[in-house]
Amino acid sequence: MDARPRSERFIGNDVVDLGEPAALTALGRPRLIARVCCEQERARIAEAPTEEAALRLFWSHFAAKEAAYKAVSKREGPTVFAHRRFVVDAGLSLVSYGAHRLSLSLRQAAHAVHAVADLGPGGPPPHAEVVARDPADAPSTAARRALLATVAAAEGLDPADLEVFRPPLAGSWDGHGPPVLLLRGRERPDQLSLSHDGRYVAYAWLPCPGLAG
Amino acid sequence: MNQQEVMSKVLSILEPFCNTADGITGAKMETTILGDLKVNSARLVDVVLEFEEVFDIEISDEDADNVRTVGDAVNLIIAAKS
Repeated sequence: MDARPRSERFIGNDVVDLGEPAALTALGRPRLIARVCCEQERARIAEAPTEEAALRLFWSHFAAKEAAYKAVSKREGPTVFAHRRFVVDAGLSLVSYGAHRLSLSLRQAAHAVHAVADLGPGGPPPHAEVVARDPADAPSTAARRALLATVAAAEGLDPADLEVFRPPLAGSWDGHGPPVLLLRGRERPDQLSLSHDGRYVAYAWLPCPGLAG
Repeated sequence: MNQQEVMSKVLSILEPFCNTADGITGAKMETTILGDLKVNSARLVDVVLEFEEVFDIEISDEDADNVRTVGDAVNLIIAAKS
């Protein structure tokens, strides 16, 4: 295990493809909105000036909560994902969960929303990107490739020396824990988060302080 | 409804969310929803809502969070209907 300091920050990201059929029909599904959003959030969505704005606002809340959940789960271990308990502020810049306050960065693209949530003492923003996926690529493979290309370029590394690994984790939804970065087979304490939906993959990456390739 | 009937309905609900080449073919009680059926985790809310609507039940967030396999869903629904 790397002896360099571990991050005190925990990040999560989530991308939503606004062109997906399930995304386009969200406003016609009040039970979905009620399950995901608390009362104040539902009120803001209902007050959006246009249907398109309301749709984008709902999915921005959804992506924010998914991103925040990933960050909190890294800090606290397997966590019940009750969307309404992750509360997004009116400025879309903060997510609250119990005593936790996560800073939120939302990126709006023509056909996607991308949220990055950051739990911890603050600092430089994570590297984050949304990438259109080659349909021939498996989503998780494409997300990992996009992330590793950025890490390699930023640190002058050979992408072939980098790997994303999800260690086993009892109690997690799919038996695996959050992704970790391996450099030549050794785990680095960087924070990473991967996401994919429809046509897009996305990542967020926070190098651990003091790391230099 | 017996277990087989519930399982059949559960699988029909899951099928459109599957991202595997074989869909729900061969799915059993132990089949995992995220791992084996490759349901996108972002669609789990939709899956839970479908369970509620089709079976006319309410599923709490805590109960939903414990549904990892087809069998977990089947057993939850049977318990909710009894």
